[in-house]
Amino acid sequence: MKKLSLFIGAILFSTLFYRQNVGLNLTLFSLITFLVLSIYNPKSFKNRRTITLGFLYFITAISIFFYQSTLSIVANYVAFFTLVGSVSQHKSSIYINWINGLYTFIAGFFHRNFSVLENEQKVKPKKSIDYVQWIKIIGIPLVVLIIFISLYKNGNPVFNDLISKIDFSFLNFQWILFAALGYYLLYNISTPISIDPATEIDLTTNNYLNKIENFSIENTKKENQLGIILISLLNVLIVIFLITDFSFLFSSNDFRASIFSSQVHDGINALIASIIIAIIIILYFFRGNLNFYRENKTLKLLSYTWIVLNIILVANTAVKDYQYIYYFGLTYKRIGVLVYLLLTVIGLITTSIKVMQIKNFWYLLRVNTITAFAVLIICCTINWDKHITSYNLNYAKAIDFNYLINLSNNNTLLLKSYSDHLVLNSENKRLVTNKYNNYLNELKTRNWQELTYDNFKKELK
Amino acid sequence: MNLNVPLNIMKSTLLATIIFWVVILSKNFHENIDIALYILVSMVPISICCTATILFTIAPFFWLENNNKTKRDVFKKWFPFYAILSFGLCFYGSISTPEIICFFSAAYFTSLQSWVWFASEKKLKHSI
Repeated sequence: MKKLSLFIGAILFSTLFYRQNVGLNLTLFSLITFLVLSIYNPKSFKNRRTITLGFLYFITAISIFFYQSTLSIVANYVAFFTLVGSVSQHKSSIYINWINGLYTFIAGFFHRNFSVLENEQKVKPKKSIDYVQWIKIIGIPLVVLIIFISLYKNGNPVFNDLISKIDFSFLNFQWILFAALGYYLLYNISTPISIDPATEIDLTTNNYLNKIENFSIENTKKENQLGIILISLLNVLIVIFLITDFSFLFSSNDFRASIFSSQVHDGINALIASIIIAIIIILYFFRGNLNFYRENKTLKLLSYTWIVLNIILVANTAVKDYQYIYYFGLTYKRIGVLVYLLLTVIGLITTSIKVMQIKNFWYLLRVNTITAFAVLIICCTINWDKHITSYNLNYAKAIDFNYLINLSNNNTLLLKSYSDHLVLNSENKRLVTNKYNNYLNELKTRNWQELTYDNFKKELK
Repeated sequence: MNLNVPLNIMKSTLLATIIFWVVILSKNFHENIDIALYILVSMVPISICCTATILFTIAPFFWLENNNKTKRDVFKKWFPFYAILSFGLCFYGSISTPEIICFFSAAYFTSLQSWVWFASEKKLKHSI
């Protein structure tokens, strides 16, 4: 039954993906991989975390069917690796799940092949399938046979005629090779593997810092003094920066896109650098003994203040970005800035929790990677192109129509409806009609593997 | 660590040649039956590639590792990261230049199998 599921899966893999674009096929393949995983690892699917990850994987698979966007495809891969990694070891951190999932997917066969050989060395020979031997007994004779047939052909015209009559055109070897690739990939994920040193270290590492019994009070005191001076100065600096920035923000009446663009993008670059440095400095001072030093309250207070001021800096950039969006509409870059700001705020809050509860660096890495994963999954369920188009057409003070035309086909219907019901200049109307007609043609020429939700919409039939 | 490098190179060359030509022939198998000479000649550059890959990217992991570690330890410690890196490079190569996907697929699968051969050499000697 188990082997059969792999064979069926391999045939389906080739049927779904051989010379096809992404669409319904990736959604169905997600279902197949989920089935293979659950057939081979039924125990793992009793774990709540694995079930949740399976559910998230489904969400990304469905979002591909609805939007066919790059973001949903990326989210689907990430969710897939997380799920496979979670089946291999459900207690490990999410970034270890990614590594384990990726490793299992690309090299599980070789790892298990080695393990089989290793077991054979230790115990009596096991009756497992020796795939290398199978490749040898099929591949080597095949190549040698081809060589000899080719040689004999030139030496004997009758033999040459006979060989020429053999017609293999009914066989699609590429399709078969694709199915073999599908089998390889499904076989790989059937029994997920965990990378040993990394997974083991992760499992034995908790989120808390441990107190070192005999640490030097003198050195810690010096470090505390340095920290207080440094973070105080940085606090003063950021306050001055914020005052000047806010005064510029409220006094400026220049609403040129170039001004906003440089304001937001330069602001973001400065923000990225300053927040990374801020977190590194806080991590450095609170890496060990200083957490357990009695006189560290001032330093802690200064650190919290600095974190709050950084959050205000984030809010300031968010306001600028919002103004930019208000006047010149939504774009992917401007949404990206907002997502980045959200992640930054979460990063800063988790850093303050780390200081408050004496947690280690791994806590930060764990919490923040989970946050990034959650944001990715949420983002992939949103039809961004449609929302960008809708906002820009209805609310933005200025519209870059070419930008909307160059977005994916997820906004085509909206643009068409806008073009039909509202007055557009002839050039823009022509662009919309072109986009709409091209999309209709694309929908009509799609194979069943490439179908998306739009293929089932009545207005497009 | 003692490694049987020549044997590994020979086996890898054979495996890489098989994968390389299977991928090429799969495109239009019925039209390419008389390419025996090409297959034989191709073994020369393939063996050079295999030798370079094995000597410069795989064997050093075993040679440079501490002597009290077994081949199994080296395999378990480094192979996963090698596999991920190798996959990344070959996948990128296949996407950017799909015309030579035969090269990248042969390189990827052969390099991983070379690792397995090195790591399980002891067993092979016993089985002979």
